[in-house]
Formats: sequence, C-alpha cells, structure tokens
Amino acid sequence: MNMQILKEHKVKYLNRRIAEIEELKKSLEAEDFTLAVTIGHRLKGNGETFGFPAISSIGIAMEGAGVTKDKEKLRAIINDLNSVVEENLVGILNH
Amino acid sequence: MGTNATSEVTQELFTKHEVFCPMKIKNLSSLVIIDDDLDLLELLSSFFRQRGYNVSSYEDARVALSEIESKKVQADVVISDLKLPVMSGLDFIKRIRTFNAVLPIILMTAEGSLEVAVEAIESGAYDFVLKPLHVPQLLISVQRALFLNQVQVENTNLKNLFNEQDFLGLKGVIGKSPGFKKAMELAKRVSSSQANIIIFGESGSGKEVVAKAVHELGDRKSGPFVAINCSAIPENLLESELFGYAKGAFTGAIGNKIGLFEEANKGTLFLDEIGDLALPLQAKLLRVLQERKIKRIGENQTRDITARVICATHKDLKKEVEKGHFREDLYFRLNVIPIHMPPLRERKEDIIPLSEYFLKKFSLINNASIKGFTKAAIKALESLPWKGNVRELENAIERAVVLSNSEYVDVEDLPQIEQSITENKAEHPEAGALFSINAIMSLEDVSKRYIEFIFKRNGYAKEQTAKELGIDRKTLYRKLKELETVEQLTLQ
Repeated sequence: MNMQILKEHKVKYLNRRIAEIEELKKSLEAEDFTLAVTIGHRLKGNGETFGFPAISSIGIAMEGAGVTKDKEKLRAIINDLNSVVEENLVGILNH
Repeated sequence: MGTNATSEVTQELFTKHEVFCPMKIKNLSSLVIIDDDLDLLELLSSFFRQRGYNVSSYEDARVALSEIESKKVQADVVISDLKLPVMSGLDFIKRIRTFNAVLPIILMTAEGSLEVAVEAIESGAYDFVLKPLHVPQLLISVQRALFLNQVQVENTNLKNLFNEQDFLGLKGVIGKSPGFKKAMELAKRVSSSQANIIIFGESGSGKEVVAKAVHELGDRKSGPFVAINCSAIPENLLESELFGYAKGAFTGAIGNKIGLFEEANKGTLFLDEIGDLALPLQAKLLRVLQERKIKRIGENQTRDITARVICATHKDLKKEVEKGHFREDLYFRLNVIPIHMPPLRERKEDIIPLSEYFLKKFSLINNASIKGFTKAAIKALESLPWKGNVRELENAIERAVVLSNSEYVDVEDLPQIEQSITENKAEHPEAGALFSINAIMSLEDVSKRYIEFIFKRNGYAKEQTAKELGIDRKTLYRKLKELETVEQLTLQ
C-alpha cells in the first residue's frame, strides 16, 4: 500500500466487488468469458492500489483463465475472490 | 460531460506520502482523468481535488477528447488508462496530437511490458505509470508534466512577444520617436556598406541595439555578433581578448587563444565604450582598421580579419581628442558614419511602448499576471528623467512586476518616482513643494503652481517674475488673471 485510504473508501471498493462476483458467476454459467477478462484486468490494476494485494493476484489469475476460457479454474478463482472480499470486509467493519 | 466523482466519495486522508515539489506550478491546474475503472477514477479525482487541482473525470476517452477539442474543459495535463473500451489510450493520444502538440498525457496501464511503454512514449505520451498505482509517484509525474506544460506555454508566449515587436523587420526593437527612428533608419541605410560606424549615446540608451540592427540588416547577419565593453576590462586583458595569444606568449598562456577579432569573422565586432580605450590599444586598433590584419600576442604571423567593426561611446570624442585622451587619427577613422542615439528623456514617445514591452516580458518570465499600468503610473513614467535611460526603465519595470501586489503597476511600485522627487528637492529645495508622489498634476496645475511660486518668491514683483519666467509683463498679467491668482496673491 502506498498511501492511507480511509475505511469508507475501502468498504465501497469491496462492496463493488461483491456485486461483480454475482455478475461473474452468471456470465460463467452462460460460458461468456469476456467479463472475466475485463474484470480480471481491472482487479489486477486496482486491488493493490486500494491496499488489497491479494485481489490484484486474483485479478491476474482471473484474466489468464478468462483468456484460456478455463471454466473450472475461473469458478475456483471467483470463489477465492469471494473469500478474500468477505474476509477483508469483515476485518474492516470489525476493526 | 465528466463525472463528478468526489461527490460520492467520503472525505479521505492522503497524508502518509506527501510529496515535496520544488517546481513552481500555477494554482488551480486542470487535470483530465480518463479510466473505465470507476474505483480508480474516483480515487484519483478525490486525491487530486484535495490538492487543489481542478479535475474533470471521464470513463470514455471519446467524450474527453471531444470536450478538450471544443474547449468545454480545460486540460493542463491528462492522465489516461491505456486499455479503454472503444478508444484506447494510444488512439486518444494520436487524436489529441492532431490539434494539440504539447498537452502532456500520462498513460496508466496494468500491462507492464517494456514494448508497451516504448510504444506509448513514441506515440506522444509524456510518461507511463504502472498499475497497481503508486499514487505519490503519479503526483510527481503530474507536477513535472505541469511544469513542462507551463514552460512550453511561457516559451510560446515569449516567442510571440518577441515576434510581435517589429521595427524595420527587427524583433525586440521598440521605439516610435523621431530620434529613435532617425537612428534606426540610418543604421539600415549603412548596414550594407563597409564604412566604419560609430554610435554616440548615453549609457543605457540602446547603442548596442543600433549595432545589432546594423548587423542584422546587413549581409553579415549569418555571421556572429560579438560585443565587448572596453571600459569593463583591464588594458592588458583587453588586448589578449581582442587579439588572442599564442601558447607561451606570457605566463599563464598555456594554449593558443583566438581573439574577438577572429571570433567575429564574417560577422560584426561591437566595441562599446571605445572612448575609454587606453592610448596604446587605440594605436593597435587603428592599425587593425587600416590593414584589416591582426597578430595574436606572441605570434609573428598576421591573420586577415573579415569582421565589421562598430564602435560606440557615451563620451564626446572630439573633446577627448582635444584633451589628448583619444587619438585624432583613430577618431577620423571611426567617425565616417556617426549615429546618434538620443537619451530616453529626449524621446518620450518611446517610454510607454518600451514600458509595455518590458511589462509583458517580465510578467511572462516571473509568471505574474500583471495587465498594465495605472494612469498615474503612465504619467509618472513619462515625466521621469530616466538618467539611466532604457536600462534604468527596464530595471524599474522588472522591479515593479516582481513587487506589485495588484494587476496594474501603480506609482508606488516605481521607486524612481520617490528618488526623482528627492533628487529634485535636493537640487531645488524650494521647488520640492510643487510636486507630490501621489498626485501627478496636470500641466495646467503645474504651470499655475509654478507661476504662483515664482510670483511669491519675488515678493509679488511682476517685472522680476515675468523676467524669471521668460515672458513679458502683459503675458504674466494675463496668465495671473486666467489663473485667478491675482486677487488671492496680492491680498496676502
């Protein structure tokens, strides 16, 4: 992390991810991989900026799996994202 | 239209990594930020707004492009994501460059390859930053880009300023008084000849401007213009400066050195304050002018010189000849075409154009937003004696621009006013009361006050007053009547 970002800003960021996870699951079921590539690329760029390096790592994996259209891998990655987001959200709100 | 990202963002603190930037950049710089990642767009908008930047944010590069082009939005720097839907960051740069060659654009990308960075810079990006972003690093990049932008804008303005001013096709040569025009027109006429020219004028009156005009208007303009002030350098050094020397010619001559006569080959050598040249050097200069050859100190070999020599002095060389301070033969050799540059006090018409030129010049150099002079300042500028001529005026305007607190330079920003009054009072204490720093009077008022002053001083004796004023009794009586002072004064 390279600067101090307030709690509210982080919460807003994580809540946006929760909404995205639902969209990702739907598109995966429809075997549409473009959303995974787009969101994966975006998470790669913004996760660490907001203080969540694990989300950046997930973004890299998600973009790669989206490009190779690896449905199973993507399902696991989305679950990982869900866990990381929930963990961080709980951690921030309880802090 | 750009989204107002901060309205949604809770106030945040970015205090951990404050960045010190020594570069002077203008307040309220305008940033355009383009990213389809709403999280980053909001974060960056908030970050820069909190630092006083005027931020416009866009998710679509096409909208940003259209608003920058139509000047709906002000952009001093653009921060754009590289990978954008519809129009990429690189396409955005290419389109911007069709109408704006200098706007700095910083690209952000999560694609960290060297090839992408090179492509971005080659396409015209100012800088390239990687995601995840290190925001303080981005801030430094923005500050540098703003500094560059400011320098480019100032550079363009200065170029325009110098191109605006034109006399005889010469840039930066300003004046419209008959005395100035006469000198410059003579300079133009003699520029193509080979005749020796000597320029007479007080210190700071613009002798070098005339010399440069001769150089620029003649067929030597592609050659160098080399100037030296003969009074500023000790005699022995001046000789080696002018003629050069050979290795070993004297202690310390560790190598060959070409002199200014050679340096000015195919160009012009301007010898300022020639009246201060020592007699032995005068003899050497005369020889050079006659033979068009020089010898470096410590060398036997003669070298041809092709430089045109232009001299200048503030002294009356004829009187210097009479006193034995200047060689008569050199005087006659130099005085083929004399050009006289009048002092500034004798060409009042030039004071305001010069003042305006210096005001623009120093406002640009000092990044000051000074629009002009107050009426009182203009009157004051025109009324001052300017003993130091254009140089003094230039320094006064520079000082006023630097110290002025308002958009218009006023009388109190010109210290010469106070100095002039002090000097005037010292020379003529009785006349000091006639003038005031803050009230520049009309000619009619000055005339009235002056007549009153002389009349009073002569004990109301009309004969004596008329004599002193250089007018006859009848005229004095009429003037006193006109000024309605007779009754008041004789009653006293």
